[in-house]
This record gives sequence, structure tokens and C-alpha cells, in this order.
Amino acid sequence: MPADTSALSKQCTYQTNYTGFTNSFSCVWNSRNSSLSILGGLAQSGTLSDPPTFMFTIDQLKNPRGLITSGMFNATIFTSDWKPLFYNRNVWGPNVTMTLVAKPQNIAYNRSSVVNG
Amino acid sequence: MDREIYSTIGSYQFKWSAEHDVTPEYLLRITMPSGVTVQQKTGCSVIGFIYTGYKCNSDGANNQIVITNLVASTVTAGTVFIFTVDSITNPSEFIDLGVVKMELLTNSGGRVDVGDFTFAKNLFQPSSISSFSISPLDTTAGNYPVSYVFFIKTKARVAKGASINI
Repeated sequence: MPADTSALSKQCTYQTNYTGFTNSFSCVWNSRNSSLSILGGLAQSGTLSDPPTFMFTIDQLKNPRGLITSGMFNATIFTSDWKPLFYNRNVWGPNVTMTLVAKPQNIAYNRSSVVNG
Repeated sequence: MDREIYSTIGSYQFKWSAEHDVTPEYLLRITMPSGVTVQQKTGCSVIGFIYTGYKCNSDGANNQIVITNLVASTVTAGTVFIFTVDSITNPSEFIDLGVVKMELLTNSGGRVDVGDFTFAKNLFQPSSISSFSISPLDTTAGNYPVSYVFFIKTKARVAKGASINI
């Protein structure tokens, strides 16, 4: 994940309306290299003529802090012995763009003068 | 050949010569190891053959390519045939594939020349993700916790035991 996006906890949570997986899976956030690992859940998936589409919703992520376009997301699918099987070759990938700013939680001010006018 | 894992393009080039003369009534049978899949097809395509009147069948059940009508007239022993056959799918994982068996047979199935070769290690390479998109369900800057929906589509099917890293 790009450095400006992160997860809130090591064991990330996900919603159950996922597709492309045979079983439930586990999701782990590694803050050292800013990566999400989706482990387990993939049995032989898809067919030769119809490759699988994986759709899943990861909760507990943290948005970039400004109205900016984030850095690029990369995805790699590894074999069970951690050899890259499919990847987007680090040359293209999606990003996310924030469109709203958050409201301040609190604003405090001090008047420097209390004289009328 | 395309070296991507699980590529369905499936064109393999063979370079082969026989110990004996090759006569028109002979056929060539190529048996692929189980990690490589021969698609079921009548009329597979062979490019580079000397004689264009050949007939090619890919037999998915037995993982074999059978080419009949190899030559129009007798070709002397040792002549090198270089040809490309389609309808073969690459393996799904980086495994040792074992041997490919090449058999020159008579029409009645008698063996004339039989040999095999082994796939080189590290011959195959990773494939690519064909589409990848992400949708945050809330686009307020700095907000958390936020749910993100991920879509990933691969170029081919995914092997058992795989994992995804983002």
C-alpha cells in the first residue's frame, strides 16, 4: 500500500461479501513494509477461460490526510512457497483520491481585545 | 513459446530429428507431462512443417499431440524438423515438469523412434494481474476507520494455496 494509506491494526478485518475465494481467509497488516497480506482462502480458483475476480472489502483502513491522490497500490499473488505468480509489475496500479476534508473536532480562540468597535 | 505461468497462448516449438528415415505412413506422437495441459482440439495448428498436408490432433484426455501425414515422401534419417504446435497450456506452478515423450510410430502403432526430453528448470515466469482497482467507501481526508473495496482479476486461474499481497 502507498505510504499515505495504512491499516489500524495488525490483524485487519474484512467483510464477508467477498468473491473469488473458496474459504474464509485471514488478513494481516505489516506496518514495516506497509502491506496487507490476504492469507488462505484460495483453493484452485477460476478456469482457464474464465480467470477469477477477487473482490473483498477490508475494514479499518486509514485514508490519506489531504485532498491528494495517493501513491500507487501494488498487488502480487504468491504461490504457497512465496514465489510471485501474478503481479502488476510495479508499472501501473490504482490510487485513491480524497474528495472531502474533515471538520475540525474543536476550535478554540482567544480575543486579544474586548473593546467594542 | 510464451513462458508465463498458465498462459493459454500455448505455442510450443519443437526441434526433432529421427534415427530412421521418416516415411509418409508414419505419425509423430508427443506426450506432454501432466503439469502441462494439452487442450482438446481437432485440427491443432503446426507451423514450420515441411509438408503442409499434415493433420494434427490434440488429445486432451491423454495429454498428447498426434501429427499424421508427416511428410509427402520419405525424408532421410537425421533431418531436423522444427515446428510449432499450438493448443498447449503452461503449468500453473513452478514445479519440475518431468519429460516430454516424442514417438515416431507406424500407422499401426509400431514404434520406429522413441525419445524424450526434460523441461529446463526455471523455464516459466510469473504472469500478470489484468485488472486491479480500489474503492474507498469514504473519501474524507484523514478519516478512519474506512472500508476499502478491492477488485483483482488475474490473467489466468490461480493455483491452490496462493496468497495476495497489497
